[in-house]
Amino acid sequence: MSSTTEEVDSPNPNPLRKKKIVIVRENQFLEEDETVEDPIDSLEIYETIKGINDPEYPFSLEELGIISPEQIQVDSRRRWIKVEYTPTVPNCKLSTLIGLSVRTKLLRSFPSYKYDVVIEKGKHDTEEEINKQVNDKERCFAALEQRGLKRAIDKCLATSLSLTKKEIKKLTKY
Amino acid sequence: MTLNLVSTLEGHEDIVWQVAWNGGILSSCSSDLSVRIWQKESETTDYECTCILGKSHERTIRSLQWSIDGEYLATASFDSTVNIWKFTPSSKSNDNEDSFECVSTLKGQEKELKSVCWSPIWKNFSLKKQYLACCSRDHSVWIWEKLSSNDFEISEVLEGHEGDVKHVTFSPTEPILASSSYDNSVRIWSHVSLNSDKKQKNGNLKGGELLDELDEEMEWKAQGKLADHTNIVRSTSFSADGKILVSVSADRSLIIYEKKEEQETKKEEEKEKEKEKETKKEEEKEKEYKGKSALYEFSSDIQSTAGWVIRQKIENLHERNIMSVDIKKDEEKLTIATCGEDDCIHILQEDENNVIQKIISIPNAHKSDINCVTWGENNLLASCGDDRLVKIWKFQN
Repeated sequence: MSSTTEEVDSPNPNPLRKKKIVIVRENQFLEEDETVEDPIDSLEIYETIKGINDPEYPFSLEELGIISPEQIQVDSRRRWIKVEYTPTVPNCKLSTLIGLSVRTKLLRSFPSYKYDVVIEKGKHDTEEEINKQVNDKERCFAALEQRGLKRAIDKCLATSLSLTKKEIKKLTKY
Repeated sequence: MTLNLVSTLEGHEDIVWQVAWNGGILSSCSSDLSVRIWQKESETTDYECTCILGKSHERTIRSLQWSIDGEYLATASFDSTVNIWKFTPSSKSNDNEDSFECVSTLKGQEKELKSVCWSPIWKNFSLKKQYLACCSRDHSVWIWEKLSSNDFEISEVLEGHEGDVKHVTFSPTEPILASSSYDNSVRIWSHVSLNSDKKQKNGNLKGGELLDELDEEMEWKAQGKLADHTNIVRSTSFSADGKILVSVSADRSLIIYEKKEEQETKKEEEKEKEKEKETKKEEEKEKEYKGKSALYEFSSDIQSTAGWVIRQKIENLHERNIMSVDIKKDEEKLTIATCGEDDCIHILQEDENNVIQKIISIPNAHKSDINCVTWGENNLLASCGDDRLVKIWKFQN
C-alpha cells in the first residue's frame, strides 16, 4: 500500500513542546467498495478534533500539542475510537473539561462509535480519576445537561476563542 | 435455547435508559424527558405506545420502577426529583382509558438521581411498610416510606458510599437493600429489626455505646460492603429466593455472590468481634500513650460482607462496560441476562455442575449501547438503548 508523507511544523506557544506532525495518507483508491461503509482512519478523527479550543489558552488542542494523530487508534470493525491526550502540565485543572470536550466532539461527529478518551500515561497527577469520569457515559451526559458545563464545552467546540478568567475559576470546581 | 426478537418499539427521541414491566405492560424512560407505556391489545396484535408521560421532569429521566401491586410508577431524574404516578387501568377507570396521575414529587437529594426501586412484600417479616429507595450522585441513598395516602416520609438517609451511587435494589425475601456505586463497591443495608445485637445490650451507657443508642432511632443501617470489583459497579440483582446476588461492573466482569448459612456467618462474626476487641485494646493503649481520650469510638468503614461470599466470577463477559443485569425470577435454574456498551445481550445459566455459563449471545442486539435488560412474564425480556429503541425478546429454554 503506497502512502505519501508530509512534515508540518506546528505553531506552539511553548518552545519546549514544539512538535513536528507527520501526516501519513492512506491510498484512497483501494477503498472502492461502496457497499461497505467507508472505514474511518485516525487521520480523519484527528482532523475532526484538532481544532477544539483549549479552555484556558487562545490556541487549539493541536497547537498546544495536547493531541496528535499518533495518539489516536481506530478499530473500524468494532467501531472503537481511542484518543490519548497530553495536558500541558501534570496538574492542569481543566483536563477533565478537555477530555469531556473531545468525547463530546467524537460523539457528535461519529455517533455510532465507542469512545475511549484517556490521558497519556504518567502525564497527570490524577489521571485515573479523570479517565474514570470522562469514560463514564452517564456522568458525561449528566454533565452536558448542566448549563455552565455545557456552555464551557460548546466554547471549546466552537471556532471562537477561549473562556474568560472568571469562567475558568468556576469550572475548576467541577 | 434461544432468544428471539419479538418486537422493536420506536418512538423515543433520545437515549432510552431503563425499561420496567408491570405484568404485560412495559414502560420506558428517556433523555427525551418522557416516559412511554407500551401495550398489546391482544395476543395477535403487536405492541404499541398507548401513553406518553411528558412534562414531568426537567432533565433526563434516568430510572423508573413499578410498585409490586402495579398501582404506582416512580420515575427518577437527573433533575434530582422522583415523581410518583398513580396508574388506573382502563378496566377500572370511568372513561375506559388508562390514566396516570402524578400524585407526589419527592425532593431533597442533591445532584442527579440514578436509580429508584420499590420494596416488595416481605412475607416472613411482620414489616407492613412500603418503601421506595433512590440513589444519587451526591453519594447518598434515600429510603422513603409510603404512608397510607399518597404521601411519603423520609425513613432514612444512608451515607457511606464514596462515590456516585448508580443502582439500588431490594431483596425479594428480606428487608435488605443492595446499592452499587462509582466507588467500585456494593453496599448492603438492612432494616434495623434484623439487627440482633441490640437485644444483647445492657448496662450503663459509656462513650462508644452512646452511638449505639442513636442507632435505635434509625430504621436502616449499613450491614456490609462487597469490594470485589475493580471499576464502577453498575447494577445488581437478587434471585427470587434471595440467596444469590449478582453484580456487574465497568471492569467487564460479573460476580455471583451466595448468602452463607446463618450459623456460619455468626461464627465468623464472633471471630471478627474478638479480633476487633484485640485491636481496640491496642488502639486504646496507643491513645492513652498519646494523651488523647476519645469520647466516641467511630466505627471504621464497614469490613463485614454481611454473609455474602463469592460463588463465581466471570471476567471479560462483555467487551465493554456492562450496564445492567437481571436474574429471571420464575426459572428453576439460575438464569441471568446482561447487556452492555458492546451492543450485546448475553444470557447465562447454571449447568449440571452448578457452574454459570453463557448460553446465548446476541451481538448487535441494538445499534448502540444497551442500557437496561429486564425480565417480564411469559419468558419475555425487554431491552433499551442509546439507539432510542426498546426491544422485546422471547426466551425459549
